Amino acid sequence: MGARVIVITSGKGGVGKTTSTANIAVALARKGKKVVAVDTDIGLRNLDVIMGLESRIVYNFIDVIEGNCKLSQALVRDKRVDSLYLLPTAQTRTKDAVSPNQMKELCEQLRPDYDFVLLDCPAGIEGGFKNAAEGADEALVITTPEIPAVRDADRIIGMLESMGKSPIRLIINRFRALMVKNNDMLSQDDILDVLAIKLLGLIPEDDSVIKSGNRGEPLTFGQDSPAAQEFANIAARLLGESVPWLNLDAYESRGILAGIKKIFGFY
Amino acid sequence: MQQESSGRASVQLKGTNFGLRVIFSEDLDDDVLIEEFKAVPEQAYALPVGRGLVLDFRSRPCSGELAGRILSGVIWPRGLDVLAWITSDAESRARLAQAGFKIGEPGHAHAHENLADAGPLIVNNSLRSGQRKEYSGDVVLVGHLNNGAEIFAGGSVSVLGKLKGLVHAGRGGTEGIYVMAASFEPQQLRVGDKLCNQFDTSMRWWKKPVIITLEDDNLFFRNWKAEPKSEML
Repeated sequence: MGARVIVITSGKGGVGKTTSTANIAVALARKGKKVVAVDTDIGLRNLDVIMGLESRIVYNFIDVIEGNCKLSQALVRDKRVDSLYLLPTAQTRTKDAVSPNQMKELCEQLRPDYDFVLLDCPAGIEGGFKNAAEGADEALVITTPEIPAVRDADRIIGMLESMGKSPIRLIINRFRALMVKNNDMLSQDDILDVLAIKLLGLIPEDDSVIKSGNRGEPLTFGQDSPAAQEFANIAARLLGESVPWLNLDAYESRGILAGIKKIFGFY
Repeated sequence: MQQESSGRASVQLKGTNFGLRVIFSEDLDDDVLIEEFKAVPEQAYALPVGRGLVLDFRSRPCSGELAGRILSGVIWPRGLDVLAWITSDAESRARLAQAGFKIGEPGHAHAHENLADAGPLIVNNSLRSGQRKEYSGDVVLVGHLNNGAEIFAGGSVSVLGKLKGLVHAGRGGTEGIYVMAASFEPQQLRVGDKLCNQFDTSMRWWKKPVIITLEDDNLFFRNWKAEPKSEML
């Protein structure tokens, strides 16, 4: 049987691929699954920082591919939760350091020992994307509710379809219900109308995402912020559970009310 | 091939994808023009002439008498075919059209007739951003043409979904060419050598089912339901 190998991709940069990878990996691990998050963004290593494991890296997967170390030596175990591992990439190499076949072989080596292999894909549609996607069975496409991001997601979905990846599912990040209500932002229906794939998660804009990234502590380690809840919901949906959607209208209204209370010194 | 007179080209010949374009100087006397045209050697028409000639008078008027002299003095004796008579002089255009000559940009009708044999290309899925279909004949897309996707067709293009991407129809000739969309939402449209990018959400036809045709060098929009109303853009 082996692991489900899922590439997390977007086309456009800065939409939340790495943050989503880290949080979904933690959420799956907290549900008892054995998970490895693989940073495939060679030369622009970030997943280790978001996961707070930067200081523990000795080897990376380029070392594994080049035979400088064993796979087990390059894997970094996250001590905060059982069964979560990071396979980091090299910061001092470039995307052409690996071939699609080598990437596929690496995923095959990981597959027997894990329930999930999550591949954090670099932005773009060139070699880095192709390497990451080559080893995957499924794909999660991340977009924000902006036209350029949606257009790039559409491009990536077309490429994933032509590579035979299935299922390809969508996560909309940095969603703001009030802006949608005021017709200042694409709605989820607008986005789904263009992309025509199944929605797996709708993550609200949430300041705690930035704070957690800077602290190296993924939200799903225990916070109850709306984004943390939705990442946990995404993990549950990946496992086939039926999870209700967050009421983002209520959350944003509460956020405004809390802001007003803060101004007037109620807390 | 160029014939020089007083240091300026009086009759210029340019090879194009349909044959030869003959461009006449705008300030030559009719007699001189005929003589210069006659002086073009026979060999000039041998290689690139293809399907025929386009006679381009630019802003120069073309009288009935001049047209007759060109036909009897050069075209008929040499067995040439004139595809179109081009002049920006409105009276001349009306006169030539009334006499049954083809005016406006070259009639690529021959090319389009040939394409009919190939049958249309039917695409049974939406085209996503970055995907492109190129075909020498008509294209029918049963799905959406997303923003960033492209269809380049020698013939007409029908999009039975949302047209948000780029369509270039009539690359093989514009006669009888149309673009049809169930919902018209593009940033740009190309028909033959015409390009139009003046589309926005305030446009009357935005997100409506339309048929677009090229008539007298203008794009005409009509409701797909074939209502009698039309609008020139």
